[in-house]
Amino acid sequence: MLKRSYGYALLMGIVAAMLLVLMLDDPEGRQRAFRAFQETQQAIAARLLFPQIRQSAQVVGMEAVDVGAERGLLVVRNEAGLWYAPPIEDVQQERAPQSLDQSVLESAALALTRLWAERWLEVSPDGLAQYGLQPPQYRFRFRARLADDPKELLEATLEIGNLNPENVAYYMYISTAAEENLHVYLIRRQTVDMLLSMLTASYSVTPSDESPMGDRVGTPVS
Amino acid sequence: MNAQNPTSASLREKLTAWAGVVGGIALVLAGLLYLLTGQLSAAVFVCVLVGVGGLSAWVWGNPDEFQAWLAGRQTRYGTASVLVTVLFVGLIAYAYVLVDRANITADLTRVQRYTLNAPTREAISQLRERGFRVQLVGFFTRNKLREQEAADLITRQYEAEGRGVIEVLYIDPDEEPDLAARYNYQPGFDGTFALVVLDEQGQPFVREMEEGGQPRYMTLYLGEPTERNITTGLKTVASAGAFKVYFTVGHGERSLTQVDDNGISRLRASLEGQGIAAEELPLAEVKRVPEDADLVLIVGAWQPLSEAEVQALDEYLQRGGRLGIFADPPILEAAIVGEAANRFLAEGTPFSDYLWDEFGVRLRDAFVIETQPDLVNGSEWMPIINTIAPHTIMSDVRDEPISMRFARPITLVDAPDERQGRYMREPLLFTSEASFGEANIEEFLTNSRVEYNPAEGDIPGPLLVGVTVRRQLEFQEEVQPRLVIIGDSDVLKNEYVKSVPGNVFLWTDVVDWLTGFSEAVSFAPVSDPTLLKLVVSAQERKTIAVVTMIVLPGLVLLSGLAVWWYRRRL
Repeated sequence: MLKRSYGYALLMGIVAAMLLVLMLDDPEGRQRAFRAFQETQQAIAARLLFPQIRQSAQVVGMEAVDVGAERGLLVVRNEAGLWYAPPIEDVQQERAPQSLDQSVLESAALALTRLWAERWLEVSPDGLAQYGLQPPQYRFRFRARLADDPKELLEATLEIGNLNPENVAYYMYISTAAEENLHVYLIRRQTVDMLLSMLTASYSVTPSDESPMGDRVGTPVS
Repeated sequence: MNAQNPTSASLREKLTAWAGVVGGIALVLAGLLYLLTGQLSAAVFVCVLVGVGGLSAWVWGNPDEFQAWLAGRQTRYGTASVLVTVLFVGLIAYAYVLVDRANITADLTRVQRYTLNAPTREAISQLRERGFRVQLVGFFTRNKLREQEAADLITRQYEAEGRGVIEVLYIDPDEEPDLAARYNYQPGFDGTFALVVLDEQGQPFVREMEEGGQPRYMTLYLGEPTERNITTGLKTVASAGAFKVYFTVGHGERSLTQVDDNGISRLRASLEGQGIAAEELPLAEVKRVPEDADLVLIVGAWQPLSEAEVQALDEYLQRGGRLGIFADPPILEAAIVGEAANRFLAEGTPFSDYLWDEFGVRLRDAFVIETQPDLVNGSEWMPIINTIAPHTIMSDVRDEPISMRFARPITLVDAPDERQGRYMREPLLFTSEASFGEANIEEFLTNSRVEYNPAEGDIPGPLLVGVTVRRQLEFQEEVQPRLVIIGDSDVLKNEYVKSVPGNVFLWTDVVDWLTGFSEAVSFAPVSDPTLLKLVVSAQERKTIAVVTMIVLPGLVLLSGLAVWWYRRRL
């Protein structure tokens, strides 16, 4: 019979050998795979793009442009909270609230509170073309008052590209400060269609590179 | 000061002993929760705190018992038992990790569900022998990660069995829409596979280049990643060139190379997409149908066949040949504008007589007029094919409308003689009851007038415009000739084949029935619905984990505690 101490020594030796082999078997690779998995899980998680906008009433100005068709519409809220199209020289004629479909415009504002990213992809600027974002198909700019601090204004430009291959979501990215890698979001088609329905609220303009929104969003709002 | 109330000391000892037990259980629970959730959650932290607190209380309140427990016989042997158990579990876990990393698998299912079937291995072997390399392309978005995991169980087997002949590529269509488009991704393909043949450089064969310079690869859509679908695809590739379809020429037939709406170039593309070769057959020149012909098609001929050509076709059919005839009525647009009228299968011509004498089928010198109010495209020349007879040929076509234009009615023999009686004629397509066959073509050409007039030979609807012919008790025959006769060739023209699903189904089903192509390339793997599935949902995994890691050990622990408590009372 083997002595007990030898037995323990043998067992300890086996344990040490097991640990050694496991350590030699590229534990860093395992770690990398684990991190990649975590990133994937993070990528899957849906996220609300503008949590600061909780109600459509916070949105004070919107501009939608069909880049290919070179037409668009810029609207702002008046004191009564109704949408109107301000005059822009050589670009847009003034339209009173009564001549615009307020429900469509309100739906577009409401859509901004529901912009959930089904998924996001990290893309280099060179890779935007495959998502129809170089140039974008549509451009949507807006200004909104922050929920926590109504004196502060949030302004963003959404670049909207192609539908995804399943035709259920649009590719979109938020044009902000220059980034090395952009986040391209997949947004449900119905939500984006609500934004783009603004283009059918019947007004045609010629888009310009310099948005006139900056001059207009100062229109007093209640 | 040291003198304590014995009752109070006893109570403290009891309480702290129980605190030690609770502490031990809390530590075990903390370990289980950590293993289960994989994170140091608040619950784990609380359990650890309770555990350490309980054990500390035991050490503080009952140090003698703690010391005795450490040095005691039970503890010594118990510790050795724990050590051996831990080592045993460790060895099992270690062996599992090694096997997992070495990707060693063993199929322990009763019917070898996770082992490729013999026909699959044979198909892969054929691919290798014929020098093919293929790529299995799986389309999986992030929403289909679990399905991808399940598919990978199968595709890894193909990849291993292929030993370089089969590659597997997964594409996330959301992340790589351009790449997915190259492989002809369509909405609804998420979670499915396609098959691509690779060239010598390992690149997929290009079907066409798009305007932006993007290639479109030649892909064979497989559907769900099952062994049946994948192997059928592999067999299709492996059988490329093994099937050959000839299209007769020299009688004004529709052209395989004509790409406009009136041509039939799409038929060639669809055949070649399945690995079936398509060639023209100048019957008058070759005199004999080639031996490698699996099917001869006559699509839209205008001039009648000569006696010699009819003999060549007869000889071909008598050796088990397959023939498809798509014949227009004598009246065509060309005749209306003064060109030579269609004389193909005109009554009294050799081929018409042959079809009647041999098979008991005759195409009438008439054309179908539709009188139903809901006309197709508002045209009375386009019969409504609303009665499709039950037939094995029509796998998918029954619910899809079929477009025809200037259809020709067919008559079958009522009392077949001995020669005709060797064949079975099965009706395939009927027009509506409201339609009729206009037989007075002369009047139509002269006055452009159509009117149902039975006295002048007009035929009442519904009219038979499609029929199949085969030998009676075919399975007992050595040679098995088959015919499909359709009273219209527009049904196959590019205009309809590209836009009317019913016509596509009719075409593929007819070719399939005549050549036996599907039968040759499809196979049914062994399946047993009673088998346990090896891929379980997240919820099922969680339930299994709770049962094996908490419920079962918990029951053992509880029974141990119960025994200990009972024996202590004795």
